[in-house]
Amino acid sequence: MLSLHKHSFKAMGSRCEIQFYASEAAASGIIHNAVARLEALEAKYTRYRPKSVTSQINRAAGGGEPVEVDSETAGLLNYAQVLFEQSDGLFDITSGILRRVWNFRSGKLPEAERLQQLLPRIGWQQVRWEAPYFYLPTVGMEIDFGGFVKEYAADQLVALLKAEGVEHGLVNLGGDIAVVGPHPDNAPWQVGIQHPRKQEQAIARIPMSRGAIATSGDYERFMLIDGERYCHLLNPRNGFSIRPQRISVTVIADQCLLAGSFASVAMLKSETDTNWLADSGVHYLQIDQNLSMDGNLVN
Amino acid sequence: MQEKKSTLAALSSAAMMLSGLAQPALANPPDQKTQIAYRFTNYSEGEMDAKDVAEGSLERYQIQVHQLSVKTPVSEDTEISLSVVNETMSGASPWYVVPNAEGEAVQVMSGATIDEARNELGMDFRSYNASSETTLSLSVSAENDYESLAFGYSGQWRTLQQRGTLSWGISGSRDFINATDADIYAGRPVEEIKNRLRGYLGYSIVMTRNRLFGMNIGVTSLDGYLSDAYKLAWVDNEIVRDNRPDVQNQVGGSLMLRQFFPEAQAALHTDIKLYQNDWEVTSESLDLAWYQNLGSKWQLVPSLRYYHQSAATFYEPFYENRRADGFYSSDYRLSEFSAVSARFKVIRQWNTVSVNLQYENYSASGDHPALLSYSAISLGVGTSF
Repeated sequence: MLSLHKHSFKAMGSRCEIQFYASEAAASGIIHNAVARLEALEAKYTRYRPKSVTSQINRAAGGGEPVEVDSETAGLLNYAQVLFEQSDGLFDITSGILRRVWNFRSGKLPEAERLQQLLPRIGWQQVRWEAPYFYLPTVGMEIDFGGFVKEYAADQLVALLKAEGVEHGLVNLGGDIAVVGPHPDNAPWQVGIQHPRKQEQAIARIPMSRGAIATSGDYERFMLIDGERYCHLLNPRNGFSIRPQRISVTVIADQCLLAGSFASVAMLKSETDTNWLADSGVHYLQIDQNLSMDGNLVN
Repeated sequence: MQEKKSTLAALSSAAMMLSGLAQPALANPPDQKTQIAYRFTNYSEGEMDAKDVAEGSLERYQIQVHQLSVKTPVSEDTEISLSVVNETMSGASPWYVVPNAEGEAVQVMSGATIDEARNELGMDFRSYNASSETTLSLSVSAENDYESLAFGYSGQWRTLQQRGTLSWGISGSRDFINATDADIYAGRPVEEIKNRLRGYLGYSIVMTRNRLFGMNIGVTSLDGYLSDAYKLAWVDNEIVRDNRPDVQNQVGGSLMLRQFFPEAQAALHTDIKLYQNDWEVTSESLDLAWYQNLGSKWQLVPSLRYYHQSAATFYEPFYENRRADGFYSSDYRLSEFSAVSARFKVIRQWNTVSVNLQYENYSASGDHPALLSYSAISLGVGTSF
């Protein structure tokens, strides 16, 4: 007899939840395996642990010796490269060091001089990547998989649940959602899209039976200075907060990794190209400054 | 706009590669499930043509095969499989060939209908880790005039971030031959032994998401009693026992290509095999199979196989003169022939149960009067939990 199991926990700095239908006997083993997989991914890619792959790569920066990575990390680095190319350099996993000067709790803009000092250490075009060897050429350069590892993890958990025989379920890692399959009666899951200006409120509900959905918005981290909104989306070329014309972009794709990447790139691009997602081949919903919605998901 | 579509293609392809690499899906680890499968097959050999038969029954073998296998995990990285086969056959078989009045080869069939049964018990023990696996196999097979003990040890070693797989294996068997009615038919072999030793090496590589290429080479060495215990040969008006060399060395190689077509949800499997032994039998075969998925529940597999072999150096349908080496065999399996086999398989998958039905039609052509044709229908049921 299948029954619905829900398990909430904290991982990757987010509230996570898995929901799935399984027998009572199988459920706890499935939950254990899923949480273990997520914890293993977090331990492997977090920048907060000295033994993580990310820390090893960053420590080796400028030291002359490339780091040999395993196949999964190689896959993530390849993905980062494609993302960098396809976003015309706006999505760059070497841009994370900008957080050293951008403190969104301070209410202060970064000092121009400190920002300028960081810029030479940013830029994927500088890295040396020939699988399985990766090398950051300058001391102080860093990479950070935080821009898409959570979405990747959501896809991995879906694969794990399917491998465990689960057919009906959903994975939610801090709002990045990947679906295993609809409810047993074929009813879709109702996924709420965060209202970009009202906390804990949904601006829309989207039925999901398969695939994945991810949202990027200017509300995740920001500060208001003199009425001006500075959001966490930073331009790797000048180190400055972009002014997105969209305040939230939601994308549906086959994989959460793709949905998340398209949502992020669309936000970054929206400063200059407000309709980057049109004809991109994905389903999307975007919200502009006047809270009006458009996209091929809107009816 | 073109550019944006290509963004989706580029990211999808990088993401696919990533999910393929991260899960060792190619590696086929023990799935920690218990599987039970049963298959019933009914072979029906085609009736002989009356003009090709000098004496005996026109009807050939009817064979029924029951196969049952159970696979279950032993620990997280090992599993054990047990299999049982029961085969019953009845009918007449080709005995020897004689020239008719026109000097054409015609077959003498075994007189009485033969009823035989064979039972086989097999065990595989498979052990797995992230980059390699090994399997130890043991089996025993028994029928009233033939017993066989076999072992195998094989493995796979994965390279190139799981994209390449090196396969290897050695196997051997010892067969004990005790022909029935040896007291009635003088010279029928008793207490004969046949040994087989085989080794192979193969490599397959995932070339793209949708293409797999592989090659394989194997050598086999046989020694002992390699003749057919029941077959005879006509030599200048005398009937002698089938008598073949007591050593045979074989070498065989194969190439395979698996191409998946995502738009069609189908895959083309192409296999080419070449073989040669030191009795100078060479053979070539080409196998084409189309695996068509229809939704996630149905699969249709039409396939076609072409086979050709040359004759063994000492083979003749009948012998006008004695041979200096004393080797005689008029077994159709050592003659030159071509064969075409057409198969059609339907597979239906439910949650944990899978059912498949296969029909095969095989037909050989060449000079020997007893070349085989058969049709086989088989029904398989499997479940895993």
